[in-house]
Amino acid sequence: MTTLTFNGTDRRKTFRLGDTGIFLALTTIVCIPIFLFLVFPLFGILVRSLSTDDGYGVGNFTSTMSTLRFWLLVRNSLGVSFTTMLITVPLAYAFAYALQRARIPFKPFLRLAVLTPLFAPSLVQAQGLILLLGRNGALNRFLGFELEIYGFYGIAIANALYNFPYAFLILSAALAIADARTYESAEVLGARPWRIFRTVTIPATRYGLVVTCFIVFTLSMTDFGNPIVIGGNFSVLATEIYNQVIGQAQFALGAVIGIVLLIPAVLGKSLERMVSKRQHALVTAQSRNLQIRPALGRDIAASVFAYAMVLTVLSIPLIVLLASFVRLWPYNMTLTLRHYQFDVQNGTAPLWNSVYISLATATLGVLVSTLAAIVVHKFRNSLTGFVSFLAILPAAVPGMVLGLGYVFFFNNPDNPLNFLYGSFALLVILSVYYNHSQAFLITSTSLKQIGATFDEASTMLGGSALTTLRRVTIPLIWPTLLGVWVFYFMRTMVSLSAIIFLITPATQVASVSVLQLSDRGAINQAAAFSVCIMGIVIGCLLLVRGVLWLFGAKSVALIR
Amino acid sequence: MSLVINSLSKHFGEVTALNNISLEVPQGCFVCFLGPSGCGKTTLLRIIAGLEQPDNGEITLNNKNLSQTHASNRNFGVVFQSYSLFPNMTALTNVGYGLRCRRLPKPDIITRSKEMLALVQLQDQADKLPEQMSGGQQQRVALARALAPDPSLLLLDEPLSALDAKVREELRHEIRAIQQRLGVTTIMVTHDQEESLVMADLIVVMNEGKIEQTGTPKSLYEHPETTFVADFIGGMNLLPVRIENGAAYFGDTPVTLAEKTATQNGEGKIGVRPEALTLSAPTNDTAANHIPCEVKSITYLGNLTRVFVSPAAHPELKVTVELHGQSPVPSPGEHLALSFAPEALRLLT
Ligand SMILES: Nc1ncnc2c1ncn2[C@@H]1O[C@H](COP(=O)(O)OP(=O)(O)O)[C@@H](O)[C@H]1O
Ligand SMILES: [Mg+2]
Repeated sequence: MTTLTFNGTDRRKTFRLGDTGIFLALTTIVCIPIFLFLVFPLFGILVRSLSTDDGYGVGNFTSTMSTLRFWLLVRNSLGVSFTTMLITVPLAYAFAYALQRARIPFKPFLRLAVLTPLFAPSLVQAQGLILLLGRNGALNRFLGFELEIYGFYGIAIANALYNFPYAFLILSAALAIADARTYESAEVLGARPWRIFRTVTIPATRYGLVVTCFIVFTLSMTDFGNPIVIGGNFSVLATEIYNQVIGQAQFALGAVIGIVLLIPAVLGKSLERMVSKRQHALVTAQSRNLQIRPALGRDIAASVFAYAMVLTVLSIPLIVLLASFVRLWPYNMTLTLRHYQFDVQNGTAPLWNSVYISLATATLGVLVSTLAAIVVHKFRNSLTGFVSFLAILPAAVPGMVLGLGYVFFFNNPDNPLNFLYGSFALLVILSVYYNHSQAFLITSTSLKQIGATFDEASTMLGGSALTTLRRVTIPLIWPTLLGVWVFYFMRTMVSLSAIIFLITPATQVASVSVLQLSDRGAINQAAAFSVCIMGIVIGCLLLVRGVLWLFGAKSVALIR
Repeated sequence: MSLVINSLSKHFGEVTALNNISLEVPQGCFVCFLGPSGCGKTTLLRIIAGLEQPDNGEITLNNKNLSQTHASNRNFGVVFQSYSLFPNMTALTNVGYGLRCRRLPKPDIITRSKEMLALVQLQDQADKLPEQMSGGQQQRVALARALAPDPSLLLLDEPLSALDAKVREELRHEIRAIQQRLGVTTIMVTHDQEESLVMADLIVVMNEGKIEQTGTPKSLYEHPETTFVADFIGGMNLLPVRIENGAAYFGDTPVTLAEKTATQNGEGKIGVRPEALTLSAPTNDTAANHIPCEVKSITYLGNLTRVFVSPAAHPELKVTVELHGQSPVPSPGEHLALSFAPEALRLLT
């Protein structure tokens, strides 16, 4: 018979920082850096765009907007982005639809293959297109075509390829949650497939479609890598900032265009958030997965289309891979490893810099974004809304704009943080805050899923908020945190537009090396650099996937 | 030592979850909060736990006001409706969690955790993870976990409602036995009147954020004060009556009660248990406590037979009569009389 009396004494410290104290401390830790590294730099752009020779005013804006060139750039950017949207969204929808609603062999492979553009900097599509269709590209050279890829269509196609995985991920999710019973009842009522598609599928995924359009449009408006490589004489707003600031030190003009680029990004993000709220309301608890019945004609058509799409997307990295192994594309196609000697410029230093920066960013980023998510979700109070707004603010800021803001804010000798300018640390910080919103949202979703019961159980057992975090919350969400780590690593490895303004010869990174090598016409070496970036990203993904698999956490999404 | 709740109120926006609740829970007592879903039971329990703040009112434990004591410092044990075991910890580690929060020496934690697991008869499941255990086992571990730090108050929020009938029955008795063995003051929330009758020393019947009646299972069953309590506990037949000059009438039939009748004239309700009713041959005169009625339908339930009848004076009513053992069973359409002893009648408000 056990004794049931209990004579242990409670040895918790009598003085404990109350949960309110912890909250205030954590809120401060989260918010001050967001102000320093996000809000103030953005403010810096605004200030710079408004400062003229005779004090503050809108002089820079009026003089910029009175030039014909500005409106030409706006027209170019809008035209390219709109065209990209028209190409990408229908194709990505069809691809997602085929994968969700038809029987196709090797679906996991197709799903993964179509995401490969995310593993490389956004200039690789342009690089691949030039190797394939450029003046000295494979088609012109071997098939005698006279294609002119530089310019409008080159940018549109490169952007379309680059945006395809982003569009696919959203549309695929939208199609996945559409309610099976609606389809089945439509089928029972004898509706023909095309009618079902028009009256059930499209309406059920309309929010996803709208969101995808916004995202693709904004990505194209603000993307820099592809237009700078394949644009030729065709300029868009994003390349103009670069040329004005880097080429001609026209900072005020850069600031004005930066503000202009912020407009579609902010509008797009706000509309997207409005729309996604409704999307969530559509998913009811009773929704269940659709059973796909075999239908030979449909399945063959879907398979042909899906494999053609994947082949198109994969042709870019494959041709880059090939180009990196031949002596001189396309004149001398003998295989060689000499481009991997990296005897140009700083050798392999930029590659290692990229890896170090990405490792540091991933680690710091997980800490920073998780802390923000915890403050918002585990310490609800009147400041919560504000902190959450700050945390998702970066989503609406294009990389170039944030990078330019860093130049204005940190390159100012009066700023006590001026010492950071030109350092690796600032590149890391920029990457952390540039990707902050997505990391924050991933962790938030995971925290919401585990709910409040465990917190309450822990509290009632005498655990403080910190004990709960350490012993319960973190152990439950660590696979998600590892996913966030991978997300940060991947994004930083391939990041170009955000850091382009902050690179110094000493802090050169791989993606910028690719840009400079292509610029100098060293396309084979540029290809080798791109291959290395992709290789490192894929290696990291495999490694983390393996770790998660070992620990039985198989359902964590790593590629976002 | 007792828990005293004084004029507690709580609103969620427009919804009044609790309306002026006052209550005293004596030391060592097993109290059930009983009421239909949405009546505020969980809210009251959560306020006691400190997980929710009341708008008004106060809670004292041994004359000490709890309003400034954070939930984690109240030393109350809670078992939630949904299994809330930490999924990343084994049964043993779960049970030891509260002891670890109190920074007890490691050997003591292990000894105590094992004792508590033995108390709920799960000593052989110590190394299982929650997902490897059945719902009933998980709730037992949750109980052991709540009891391990020797709480001054044990709070249970519908701990059995997610379990299937057989396990629920077993656990009812087990929880009650453990509570009596440890003597820990316990509050359990339930919407199941049978559960509360079996387990509780004291039942607090709640309805729409208010306390309807408080009492022992026996006193609530035998002396319900309101129609709500009469109906909710054990299902009483409710007969509308007219009060005239201190006498009650059902239609034209005079009704005599053993307890004193209200003096005010007007409408009232009388409650009578199905098993207190008998059926007899109809009488023509309006004899007291003899209500002419027609048999509507009959349900056989083995050891008892339920007969549903409609009184002639109120044909819209459906009165349930329970006949036990060898009583002769009438057939539908028969005209009989309902009769009952004055002691079986309760005048309700
Ligand atoms: N967090 C909350 N927010 C808004 N309304 C609530 C909340 N919790 C409870 N309520 C409302 O308060 C009332 C009482 O709820 P609850 O205490 O859970 O009832 P019970 O446990 O008796 O079913 C219900 O009307 C419920 O909808
Ligand atoms: Mg409840």
